[in-house]
Amino acid sequence: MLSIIRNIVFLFASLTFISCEKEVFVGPAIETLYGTLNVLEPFSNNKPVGVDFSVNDTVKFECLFSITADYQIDFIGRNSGAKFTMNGSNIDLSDSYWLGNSEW
Amino acid sequence: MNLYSELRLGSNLEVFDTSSSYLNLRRLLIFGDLNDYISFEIGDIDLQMTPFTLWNSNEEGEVNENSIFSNYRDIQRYENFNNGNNWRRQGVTVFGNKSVSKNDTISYKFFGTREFASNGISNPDIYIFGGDVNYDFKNFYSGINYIDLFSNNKGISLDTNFHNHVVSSKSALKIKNLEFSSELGLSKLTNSSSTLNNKWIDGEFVSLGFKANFSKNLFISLNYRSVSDDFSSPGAQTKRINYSMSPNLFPQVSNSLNNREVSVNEIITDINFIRSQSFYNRTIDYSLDKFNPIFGVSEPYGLATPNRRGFSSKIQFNDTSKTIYLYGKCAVLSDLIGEGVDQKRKYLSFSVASDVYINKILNFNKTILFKSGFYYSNSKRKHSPEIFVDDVDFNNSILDIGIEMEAIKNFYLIFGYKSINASGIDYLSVRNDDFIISSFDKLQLDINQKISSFGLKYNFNKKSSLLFNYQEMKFSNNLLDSNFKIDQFFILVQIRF
Repeated sequence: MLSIIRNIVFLFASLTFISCEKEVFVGPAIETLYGTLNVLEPFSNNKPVGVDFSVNDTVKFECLFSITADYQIDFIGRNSGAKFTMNGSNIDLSDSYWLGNSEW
Repeated sequence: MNLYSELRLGSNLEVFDTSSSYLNLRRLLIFGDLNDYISFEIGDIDLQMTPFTLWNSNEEGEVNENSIFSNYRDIQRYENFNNGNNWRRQGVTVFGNKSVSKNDTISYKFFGTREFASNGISNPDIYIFGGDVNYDFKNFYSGINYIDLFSNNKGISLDTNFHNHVVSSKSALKIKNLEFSSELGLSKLTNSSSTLNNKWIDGEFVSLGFKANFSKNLFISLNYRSVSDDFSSPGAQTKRINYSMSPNLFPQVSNSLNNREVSVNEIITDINFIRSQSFYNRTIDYSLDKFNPIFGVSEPYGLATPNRRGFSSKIQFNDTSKTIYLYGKCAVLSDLIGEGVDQKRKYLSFSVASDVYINKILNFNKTILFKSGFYYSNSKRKHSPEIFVDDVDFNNSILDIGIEMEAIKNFYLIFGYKSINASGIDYLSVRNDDFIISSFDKLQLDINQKISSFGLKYNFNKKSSLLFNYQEMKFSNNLLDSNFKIDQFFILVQIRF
């Protein structure tokens, strides 16, 4: 009888530790829903002294948020008044760059 | 063949004539034996298997409450067909048992019920089919349970049928005063999502138990369970209360600014309990029901709560003279897998309860019974500071205190007090039709509910009584700065035949 009990206990102990386990969390990442939005690195660009778009130069932007956030960057020409808007959704601005184009 | 029926004669007191009198058929059951081994029931049948397969879990909000509350609660359960942990369904069941040898018995039960009727256009008929086969041999017991909630799309514009299978194997072994038990099983839910390749969404559970009766007066049990996050068992996870409905009494408060949720006051003394529009749930369906977190978030669906792993224990003591009764329960659980983050929640809950017959201690003839109970639970999860999300820290408690004094023969003074507190932050999972967590609702509460109830009761005999009862419920939501109070007066006449 004892050996039967031992076998039963061993079987269930094995089942207990091998069953039901997953390696990654379930559901959407909670910080995308309820994380507090903080700007960890301030907004800046890589051409602080000027840019020459005639030679196909680009302006890259930098900013780091605490969570994935929707952002919008507005450009307004100081003399021409031309406008351009860039939208995105990310934890930083690594995929945002400006080629000097405008909407009008 | 036998016929059993329950008839209700009634009259609506809103109109003082007999035009509103009625005769209702509450239950109709035809039952009988086909032969020595096969019996059957057709009609309103009571069904129950195990807490993981088919089980009508009790409503929340009570820890050994005294008779001024439990009296109404018993009426509610009777009115809403909650007989123990059975589900009252309309259908047919076939059952029986047969001995193979002197010491063993094979018993079986199969049943079929219809949960929803098709509207002939878009909603299918939904049925439940299930059964169990058990083998008893001296001190050993083993059995298999199976249940399937499924749709029948014949005649309507629905391409596929849905199934939710749950199968489990249960066994127990008794050695003198000790009992070892186990139940393990799995669920298979039809996957309707095109984003997943699998035809089924599979869930599993394991439960191991140990019970010991050290004497006639002392009972101890220890249980370990592990339930996966995708274990779907509608028969065991359906809530007895439909918390998505509003209370019938004052559904809006604070000059109609705030909606009120169904809480313990309504669960006990809802004025609408005789009518059909009750928030007591009578159907079993696919989706996971809403629950009210003010009663705790540790085990909202009982033992079958998905995504829980851990230990629970119970201890119960009755002294021989029946002067003192003590009860304690504790559960230490955690998430099996993180929800929305890698970290897992940790849950701690415990309850203690006691009955003390003070008159027996003081050698009085007339009854003085003091009843008390306290339940506490919390859930905690600490988040990494890098994700800027508030930590989970949610606490709730339920306190029940009551005293019942026999002032003169058969005349009782009864006082009951109940306090429910819930405060903190948690993130409750929102599941889609495929039982997959699709989002989270942030829960932030600081709520307190107190019920004070005083009654005068006269027992004409053991089966009939008259109760006058005044009750005050105070509710405060400290986050919304909302407070209200409901005063109620009841006269309850009970005559049992």
